[in-house]
Amino acid sequence: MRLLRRVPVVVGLAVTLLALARLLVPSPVGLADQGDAHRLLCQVGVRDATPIEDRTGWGRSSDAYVPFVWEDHTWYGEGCGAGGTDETYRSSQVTLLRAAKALTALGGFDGDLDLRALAVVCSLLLGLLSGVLVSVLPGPRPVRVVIVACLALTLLDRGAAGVFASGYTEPAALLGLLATLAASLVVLRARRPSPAALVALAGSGLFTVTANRQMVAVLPQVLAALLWRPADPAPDADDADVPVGAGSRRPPAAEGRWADGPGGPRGRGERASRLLAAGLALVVLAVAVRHVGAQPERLAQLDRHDQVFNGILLLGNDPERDLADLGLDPALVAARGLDRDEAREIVAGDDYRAVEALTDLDVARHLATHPRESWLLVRRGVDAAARFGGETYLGSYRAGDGAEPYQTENRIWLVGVFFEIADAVPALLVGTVGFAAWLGLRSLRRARTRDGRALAAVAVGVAAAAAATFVVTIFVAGQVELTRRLLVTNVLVAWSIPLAVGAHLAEREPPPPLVLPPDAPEPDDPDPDDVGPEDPEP
Amino acid sequence: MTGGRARRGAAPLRSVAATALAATAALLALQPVLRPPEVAAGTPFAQQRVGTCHRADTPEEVYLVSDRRPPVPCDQPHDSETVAVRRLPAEVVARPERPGPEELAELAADLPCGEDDVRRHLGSDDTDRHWYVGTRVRFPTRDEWAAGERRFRCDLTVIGRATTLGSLAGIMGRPESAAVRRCLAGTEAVPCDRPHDAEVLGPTLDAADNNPAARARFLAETCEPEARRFLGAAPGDLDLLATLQGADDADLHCVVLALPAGSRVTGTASARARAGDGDGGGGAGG
Repeated sequence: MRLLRRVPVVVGLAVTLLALARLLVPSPVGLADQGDAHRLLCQVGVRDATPIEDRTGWGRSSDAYVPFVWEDHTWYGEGCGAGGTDETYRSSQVTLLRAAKALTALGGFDGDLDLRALAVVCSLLLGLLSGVLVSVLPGPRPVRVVIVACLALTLLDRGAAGVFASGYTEPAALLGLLATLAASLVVLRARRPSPAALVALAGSGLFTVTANRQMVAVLPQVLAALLWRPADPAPDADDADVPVGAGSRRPPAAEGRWADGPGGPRGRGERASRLLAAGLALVVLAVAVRHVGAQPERLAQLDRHDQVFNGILLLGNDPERDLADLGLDPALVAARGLDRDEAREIVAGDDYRAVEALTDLDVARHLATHPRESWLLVRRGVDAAARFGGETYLGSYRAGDGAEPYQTENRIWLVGVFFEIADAVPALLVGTVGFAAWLGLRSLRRARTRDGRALAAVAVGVAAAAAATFVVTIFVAGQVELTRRLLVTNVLVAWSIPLAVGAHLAEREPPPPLVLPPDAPEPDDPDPDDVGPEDPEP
Repeated sequence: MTGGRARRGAAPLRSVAATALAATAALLALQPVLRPPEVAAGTPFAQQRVGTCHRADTPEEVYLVSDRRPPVPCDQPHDSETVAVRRLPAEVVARPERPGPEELAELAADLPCGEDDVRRHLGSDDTDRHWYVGTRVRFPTRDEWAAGERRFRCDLTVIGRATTLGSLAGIMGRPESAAVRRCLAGTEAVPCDRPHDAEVLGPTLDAADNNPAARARFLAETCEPEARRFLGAAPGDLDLLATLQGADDADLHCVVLALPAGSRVTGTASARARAGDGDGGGGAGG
C-alpha cells in the first residue's frame, strides 16, 4: 500500500488503466489495415485470419474493419518481404509484436496473435513510461504530473490511440520517443550520467530511430542528448548576494564535492562518462546508418515514384518541364497522379529506368530550385497534418461489433480539437512548434539550474523533432497517405507545448542550496518520488 | 562507517548490474532490426514440375511474382496447377537483375502461357470448351534470378475459388469438368456444377453478326453438328435441342437445353465427360 502512495506508481497505474479502457472497453478499438501490416506481422509468423474471400471489396475488407485476429502461418521465399520482394522490412515494432504474440498465448486471446494483446503490451509500456517520466522530470510534483498527463493523453487521443492495436510501426516510434524523453532527462540532469542511463538512452533512441524509415529524423536529437551536457549555470546576481561558507551550505568556488581539478576523481569520472557517451553515439550512428541502408530497395522505389509523380508533378504548373529538370523524359507525364501499379505500363518502359536512378539529392536540388513547389509541398503537408484525428479511410472497430464499415472512434478528442482548429488555421501548427522552440530556447538560456536546462533542452529537441519528422515525411511520401504518415509529427507538436511550458516554469526555480561534504549522509529527499538523475560517487 | 563502506562497495556492483540490464534490454528490443527473422526456403524454382498443385492462403501469396511454397497433393484443396515451365524471352534473359513487379506483370501477359497449353492440359477443344480457367505466371525469386534461373512457371487457376477437383489434367473427360464449363441459368452465366437450364457449347455468334439469316445459318451449320458431337448418343432428359441463346455478354451461344423445358440440372451433358465416368453426369436439379 505504501507503494500506491508514490505518485509515479499511481500515475503509471492510472495511465495503464485508462489506456486499457480506451483500447479495449466496451469493444476493442484499433486501426484498420491498408495493406502494410503484412510486412511486419509476417515476421512473427502469422497471417490475417480473415478469410481470403473477405479481404477484398468495399465494406468487408481489412481497411473497413480492424483485423484483430492473426493465425500462425509459414511464409516461404519472398512471401514475407516488403512489396513482394525478399527484402525484410526492418522495424523495432517487431519486438512489440513478439511480446503481443507471447501474451496472446498466455492471456487466452483469439488466434495466434491478437492485436488486443498488442494493445495490452502498449498500455503497460505507456503506463510504465509515464510513471518513469513523473520520476525523472524536474520541477514541482503537480507540474510533472500535468506534463505527463498531457503526453499520455495525446497518445490516447482519437488521432493516435488506434495505432496501438494495429499492424503499423507507430507504436514503436511513439513509445520509443517517450522512453527517449525519459532517458534524455536522466542523462541531461546528471552532471555525470551513469553508464546505465547512457546505455538506456542509446537503446531507446535506437529503438525509436529504427521504428520506421521516417524516424531517422530524430537521430540528431538522440546524438545530441548523448553528447551534449548543459553547463552548470553561472551564479547570477541574486546568487552572488548569498553568503557562502559556514553560514551557508553553498560552498565557495573551488571547494566541496565538485571542486576537484581536471585530474581529480571528478575529472576522471567525467572523462570516462563522456568517452562512454561518445562511444555509444558512434554505435547509435553506425546502427542508424546501417538501418537506413538496409531498408528495402522496393520501398525506396515506391517512395521515389510518389515523390515525383504524386509530389513534384502535382505541385508545379508545368509537369513536363519538371520532368525535364529532373533529367526525365517528359513523356512520363502520363504517370502523373498514378501510383506505380496504376502506371504499370509506363513503369515497365525503358524511359522509366531513369526515375529509379534518381537520388534524394536530385529531388532535393529540384525542390531547392523551385521554391513555389517547395512551398506548396510544405503547405499541403501542414494541411494533411491538421487533419489529425479527422476523416480517415481506415476503420477503428472489429467486424461484428455493430460498427459501420470504416467507422472511426472519437472518445478522447482534446488534442483532436486543437487540430480541428489548426485545420481551419494551418499556420497554428507552425506557430505552435515555433512558439515551443522559442520558449524552450529562452528557458535554456535563462534556466538557473541544470534540471531546468535539461528540461528546456528536451523541449527544444521535441519541437525540432516535430519539424524534422515533418520535413522527412513530406519529402519521402510526396502527398500519399500524408495524414497517417504524419502521426508522429502531430504527436510531437502536441507534446512540445507542455514540455516547453514545463521548462519555462522550471527556469524560475532557484539553484539547489545544498552542497554536501564528501562523506556526509544524504539528507532526506524532499520529494521521495523524484529519483532524479544518477550521479554516483567516483 | 562500516555500513557506509558496504554501501559504497555495493554501488559499483549495482551500476554494473544496471548497465548490463539496460544493454541486454536494448539488444533484445533491437534484435529484429539487427538480425531480421528468416523465412522458410520452400521449393526452389529448379524443382518446379508440371502437374503439381499449389495453395495460396493469403492475397499476398496470390499476388506474389514468385512462389516457393511447397506443392500440395492435387486431391487436396488448391488454387493453381502448373501446366508449363518455360524459358523466358531472350530480351529478359539478358537482364542481370530481375525486373520489378510492374514490369513482370506486363511481361506475364505476353508470355506463351496461353490457350494451347491450357487446352492441351485440360483436354478442351472448340466444341468442348473450357471456361472459368485463368492463368497465373510465376517467376524465379530475386536470388534465383541472380543465380542464373531464367524460366517461368505457368499455372492454371479456377477463377474465383479454391478447387477440390483434383488435377485439372484431362478434366474435360470427367464429370468434374462441370466446374469449368459454362451454363446458363436464365440469361445468367454460371459454372455447370450449379443449377442451370442450358449448357453452352462450341463457338459463339458475335453480337455484331446477329441478323436472322446469319442466325439461321449458324444454327444449322454450326450448332446442330456441334451439339450432336457434344452429346454423342442423346441421353434421355437432355435431348438434343441446339438453339441459340444470348447470355449476359450479348453474344449468341449454341446451347443444349435441359428437358423438360423449365427444369434445372447440375453437371455437364458432355458425352466425353460422361464416357470418362461411365455415368450420366448431369442430374436433375432445383
